[in-house]
Amino acid sequence: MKALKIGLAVLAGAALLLLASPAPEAFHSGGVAECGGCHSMHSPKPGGNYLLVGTDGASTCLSCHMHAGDTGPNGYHIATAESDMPAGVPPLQRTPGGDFGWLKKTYTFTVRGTTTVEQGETHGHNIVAADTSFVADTVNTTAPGGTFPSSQLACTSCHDPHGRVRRTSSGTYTTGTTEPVMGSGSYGAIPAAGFTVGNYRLLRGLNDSHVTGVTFTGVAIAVAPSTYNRTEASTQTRVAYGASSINTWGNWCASCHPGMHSSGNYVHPVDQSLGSNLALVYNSYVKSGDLTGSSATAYTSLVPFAENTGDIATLAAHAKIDNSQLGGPGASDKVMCLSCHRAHASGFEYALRWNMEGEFMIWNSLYPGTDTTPSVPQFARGRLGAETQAAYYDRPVTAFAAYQRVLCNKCHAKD
Amino acid sequence: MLSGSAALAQAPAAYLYSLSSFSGPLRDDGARVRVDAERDEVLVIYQNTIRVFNRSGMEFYSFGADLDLGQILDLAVEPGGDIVLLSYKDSRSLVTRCNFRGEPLGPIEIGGLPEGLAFHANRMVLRKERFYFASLAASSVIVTDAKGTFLRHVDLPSMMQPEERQRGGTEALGFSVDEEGSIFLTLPSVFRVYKIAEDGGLTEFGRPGAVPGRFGIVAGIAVDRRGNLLVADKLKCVVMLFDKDFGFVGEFGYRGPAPENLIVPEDVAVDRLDRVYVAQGRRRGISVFALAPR
Repeated sequence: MKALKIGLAVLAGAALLLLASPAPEAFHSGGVAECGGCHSMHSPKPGGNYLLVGTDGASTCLSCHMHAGDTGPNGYHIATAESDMPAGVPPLQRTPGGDFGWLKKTYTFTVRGTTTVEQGETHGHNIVAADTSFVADTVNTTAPGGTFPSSQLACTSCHDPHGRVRRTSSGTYTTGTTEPVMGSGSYGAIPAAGFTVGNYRLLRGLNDSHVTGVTFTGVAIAVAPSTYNRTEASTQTRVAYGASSINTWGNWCASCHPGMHSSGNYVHPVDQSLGSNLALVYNSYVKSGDLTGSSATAYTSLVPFAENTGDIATLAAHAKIDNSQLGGPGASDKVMCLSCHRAHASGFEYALRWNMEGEFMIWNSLYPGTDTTPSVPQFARGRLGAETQAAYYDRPVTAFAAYQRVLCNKCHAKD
Repeated sequence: MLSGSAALAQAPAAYLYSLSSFSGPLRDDGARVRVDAERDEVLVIYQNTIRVFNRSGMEFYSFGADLDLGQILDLAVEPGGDIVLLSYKDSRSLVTRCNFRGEPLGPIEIGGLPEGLAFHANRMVLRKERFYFASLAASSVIVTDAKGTFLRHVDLPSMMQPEERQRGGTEALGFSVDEEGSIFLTLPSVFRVYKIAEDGGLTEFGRPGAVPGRFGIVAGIAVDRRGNLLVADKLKCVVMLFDKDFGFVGEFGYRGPAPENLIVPEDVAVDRLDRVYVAQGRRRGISVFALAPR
């Protein structure tokens, strides 16, 4: 009887935790969702795979994660429909990973008589979703620094729709199925004993090799605020990234991009501690020409870092949207791929968080644009000023110096 | 009510044609389609341009590209022929009355809102001199008279069962209003269609599943002149027909390359001649079907 009471208490606690959880975890709830949301037992797509109903995996995902008619960042939408993006109108979503709609924004501009086309496909990961006209990268036929074929890139290349990786109540990760998944693990929930939550964003890990030629050895650790798809016009959205042993973001991205990882390759370091000097620079840097900052307010979501911890409670305390947690890095915190790149897509080439194709991000206290700064087209690169601002998640231009240089300087302060 | 197999045997609608211009069929992805019930014309919204098609499905006019109204989200045609546009600009929802050429005549100010209720909408329906403005993200609807004066507010999440609300979020993908003033919203994450009657009564139907009549990812919804419901399913790639008592009648489309197939049907409209207009993905534009006599 005592065991039954304890069991009921655990269940009640779990139910309370689940009921108190925010809406973003709906449908997937940290694990395998309702099967009929993606598969059909008796009427799948003819000639398709896995009894999926959609043309392909990414098209299936976008059935829910993109919808025409949005007016701004909307819940779990991770792309803006073409119908809402006429020329001159930027994508609408502001998730930390970025809006795949940028892949469809191609810009043409002329500098000193030479016309350049910045193809939309350069703006991020080119998922293949035939139903919504997302096509494979035409330049990189394999993952840069790796061999994974671009023609196979889909949401499910990185995310596991069945949520194989789970986090236990003790903070360890498992792929076992003995402890039920009680909810999402993306927002800092800690499961009751005997239960698990999903891994962050259902990302693959723990030697997952379901994707052709790729093995995700470690786990990607992070906590997001429950309202994560939002403008940063007034306050920043802080995703608290973590790092612990092999569970680092660089190692995780290197599953497909091994040649881009610094281990054994002459490239920019990832997964390495900033050290006291670089941490000091990060914490002091406010904007070009201003090194008067402090560690209490140094954080910017345009240059996030990984905290040197895998402790979910610690990370959850930092995952805020109200600027209450803007603490900068310590010496042991780490630079990661996501310090400079967005995971999905951005308004700039190579999914970078800022425009690297020129020395200035801001010109004469203006977001570069064909309308705002026509005398320096090399900085606008065919965008309107409003499009550039959108790519910086709507920050007021006063967040930067009048002649702000690129954000490599957040860590290196050469400006 | 027909069984699933009977529904498969007798499609409730037959393919007619695709909306076209003199350059060929429309290829827009995820457009919105509306009908002008008085003149049997069809209007399609895509990237801030509104194209108008005649009863044969040929484009004969377009406007909108040079309007300074922000993002054009929806429209309704008044009986006299004026076109009312719903748009979003500078973080505000705007309602603008235009003449039949699409030239702005002036704003319709939404007034008399209760304290604490903001006007924010991305869908609009005009029925019997009443505007119904929906915010799909919030599954809420504001009803006004023809001058924009507030009449009532419907907040679906507050009417749902708590466990249902928790289970799936509250974003709607489809919105329509019937001739009796009943509001319909489709919520794909809970596999449901909700009907809120004029008196506030809430009814619902829908179950997930693969067999005909069950829901995958339900999106656009339309009501025909008899009160039958047409529900687009993005995942199953069909449009399902239900009678006014929510009895399943049949479905049509199905994923495939043939003209009569559908791929990711997202929006649906029906005119008084029982022609059904379905907006799709994969560059398939707007397909037009004729409902079978019943």
